[in-house]
Amino acid sequence: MSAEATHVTGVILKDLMSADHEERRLIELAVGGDRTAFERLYRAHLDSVHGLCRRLVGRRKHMADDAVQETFVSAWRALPSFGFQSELGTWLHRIAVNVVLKSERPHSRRFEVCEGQLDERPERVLPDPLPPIDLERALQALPDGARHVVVLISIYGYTHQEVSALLGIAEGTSRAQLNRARRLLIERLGLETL
Amino acid sequence: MNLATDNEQVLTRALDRLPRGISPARDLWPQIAVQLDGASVPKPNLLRLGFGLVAGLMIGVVSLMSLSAHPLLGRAGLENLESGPMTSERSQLLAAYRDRLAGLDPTTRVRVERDLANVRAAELDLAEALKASPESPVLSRLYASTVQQEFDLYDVVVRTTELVSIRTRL
Repeated sequence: MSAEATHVTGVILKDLMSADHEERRLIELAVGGDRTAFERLYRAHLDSVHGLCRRLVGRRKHMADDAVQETFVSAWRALPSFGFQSELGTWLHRIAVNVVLKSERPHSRRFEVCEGQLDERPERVLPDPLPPIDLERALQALPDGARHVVVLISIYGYTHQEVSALLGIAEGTSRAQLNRARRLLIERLGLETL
Repeated sequence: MNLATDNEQVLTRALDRLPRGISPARDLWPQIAVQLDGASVPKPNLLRLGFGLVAGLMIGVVSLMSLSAHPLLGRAGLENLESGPMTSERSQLLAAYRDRLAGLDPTTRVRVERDLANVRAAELDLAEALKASPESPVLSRLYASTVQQEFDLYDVVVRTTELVSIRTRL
């Protein structure tokens, strides 16, 4: 590695360590009841948590904001037990997934109907590259189980093992749901015509 | 490369390009902040505090009983406890302790006050004994240890009620 590259890497590492240190300080303040510190943590992680909730709830977009609010209120309550065993973002995601899953239980039967509709009438659009808006809509239309898995794995980078723990499903189920989600997305986006 | 593989790659690239973060259409903080008022950070278990104090005192008693087998504190150390910065620290801790004592539930408060009374009674007894035998290193050491217990008791009450106090002010 060149001296310049080493320097740049060093600067980046220093920035990352500094950010980690700052987040740790804010967490400790928030644990002590400092709401200003907690608001800063909220603002730092809001988009990521909102993005996850928005995608997990699918077509029930109105539930995304509620899920985000419940996630941060739950996080505030549980922060003393955070323990720095994982990154705060991962911890918040875990809470968000639980909040969304809990909110979806009464809707599970209704969404089995959506799954059938999705299989029957795939839309055909699709130039390459895919417009993100179309992909987002296709994700929203996926059945709950398939959508949860593809969102967590393909967008947020979780492994099947992590998704298995997050969603309370077997790793094999996670793999099957991912394959199903990708097949449905390809059909819905009309990729088979390319 | 076959069509299925092409499709998989196009989909993978498209998913990779999606941003992880999506900003909400409105600021959600005001509604969250309102809910935080009713969702306080778990407070210290004051009952546990009471048990902790009792346990601490029991450990102190056991320590005192075993002191005769240890090197002994001289008279100079005892004098340091009764004057200078130690006295000032004790006054500050006592003021903070009194401030926080009012915030404890009645049962715990009674128990804390009873424990403190026991510690102070032991201090007075030892001080009297030291007047009679001022050169006794055993008595000096016991006295210093008892004073430390008094400090510890103030400190435990002040520190464990700190969180409650902060949350109440917000």
